[in-house]
Amino acid sequence: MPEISNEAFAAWAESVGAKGDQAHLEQLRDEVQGMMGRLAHLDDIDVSEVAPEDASLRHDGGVA
Amino acid sequence: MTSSQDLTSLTVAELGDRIRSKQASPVEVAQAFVARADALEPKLGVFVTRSTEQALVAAKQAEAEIAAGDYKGPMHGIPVGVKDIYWTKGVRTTSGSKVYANFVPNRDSTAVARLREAGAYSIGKTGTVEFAFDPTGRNAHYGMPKNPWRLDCMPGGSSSGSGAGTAAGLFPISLGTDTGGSIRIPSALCGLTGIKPTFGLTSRFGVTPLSWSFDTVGPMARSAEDAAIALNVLAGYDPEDPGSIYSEKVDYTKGLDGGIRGLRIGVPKEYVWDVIDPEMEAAFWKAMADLEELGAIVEEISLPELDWVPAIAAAMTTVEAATVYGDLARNRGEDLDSSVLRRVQSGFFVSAETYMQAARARVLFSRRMNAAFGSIDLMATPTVAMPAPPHNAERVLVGGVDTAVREALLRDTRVFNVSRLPAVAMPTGFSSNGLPLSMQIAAPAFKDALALRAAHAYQQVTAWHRARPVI
Repeated sequence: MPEISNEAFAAWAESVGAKGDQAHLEQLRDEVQGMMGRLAHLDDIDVSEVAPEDASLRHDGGVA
Repeated sequence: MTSSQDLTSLTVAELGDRIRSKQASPVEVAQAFVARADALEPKLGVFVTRSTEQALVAAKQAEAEIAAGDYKGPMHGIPVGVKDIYWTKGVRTTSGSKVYANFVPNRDSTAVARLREAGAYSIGKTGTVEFAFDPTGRNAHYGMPKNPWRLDCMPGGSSSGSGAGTAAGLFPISLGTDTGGSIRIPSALCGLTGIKPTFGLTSRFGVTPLSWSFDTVGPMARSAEDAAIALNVLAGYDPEDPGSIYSEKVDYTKGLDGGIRGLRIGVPKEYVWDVIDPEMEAAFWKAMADLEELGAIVEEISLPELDWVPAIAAAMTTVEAATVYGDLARNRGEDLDSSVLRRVQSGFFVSAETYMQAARARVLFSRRMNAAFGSIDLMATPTVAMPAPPHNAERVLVGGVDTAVREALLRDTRVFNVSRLPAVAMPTGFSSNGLPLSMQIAAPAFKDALALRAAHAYQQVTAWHRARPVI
């Protein structure tokens, strides 16, 4: 994942309502960047055998 | 007559026997634990709020009930450390947050109410990470409890005070919660036996939420037998928890002595071993050899889907936590622990599409786990990748791999949060610098009793769970 600049991240953070001083936002940027790197693995998982409506918590807590 | 110090080193089963047979009175038991807490709390910082007066009143009541012939079972007259995210009627419940520093619930959580009905009582509210959102035990507002095995090391979290206090003998058993490992991680780091039950088996009503599709309530104990005793009280359908699942009533202590001869225990050959401390790994394989001696069949299994776990857990827990605490983060962010605030805010950046991709992957992962349990009875892994790190560590070298402490603590436990399966953590030895080592044994959904049976069998031929720290 390409590195997000401080300016781009500040704009993104403002748009989603994530507030804090500059030091906080820089730490948040690092954390979000790391998380996005991990989440990118989700795109590699073929979930086509699970219908979207089967992905929510069933009333009995089971797995579809 | 049993000395005060002896009483605080006993398990719930042993204390229950002494109370039932009137070798020890509930008041003596309460006084012994209160005295130990008086002596050690300044050093350990286990409690957010102590409930000494209420505890002594409850102990007197238990004593009167038992004297009148109304013995309620092995939890009767037992003091419990209660993680400070469980509502306790009339006693403040901070959730580890400054925001809720003065919140006093007007009723008990279901778990606490069930313990009271069984004759147990809270001896105090134990330290927790704010909103239970971190595995280290850190808390900027109330401090991090010390690990009683080494005061310069972290106790693990988020049920940090419950872990440290049970290990130190400030109470013989405690309540924790487990969203990504928050019962099993402090159990592992503090040398305890803790069970994350099957999702839906125990009620979360009156427990501060973090991530509703993962949050699970359970006990942290000194033995598998004690965990089974507590689960007998805690398990059961509760209409006040939308995630609660009806299941047949089970006596979790009944089959404990059934042994494990012929049971097949699967050990994943992937993922777990990518980040592992050599002493933790050696203790794990020694434990597997011990289980084989007992007649179990230990076999390697292939589960390449374990690699999906960190992404699924990260996407779903951050979004769910941001849903629960988003308003607080936006409006009172300055009052939150800055690291917890960042974690909540991280969820703002995850799209709905990503969340649903993770949810679908979670179902797929659960199907793969269920398929694996078609050929094995139990699954075992180390509970955590390493023993307790120094209290201020952010990164650690684990088996030569530079790893964030949070990831090293969470990577193995959250396998069973994502799959919602029961898992019991238990001690397997000590590192060369005196810190507990641990493994977890997992079972199919609602086979919690089987996981406890295996843990109990292991604890009949080992003594790691009987070790007590010198503080």
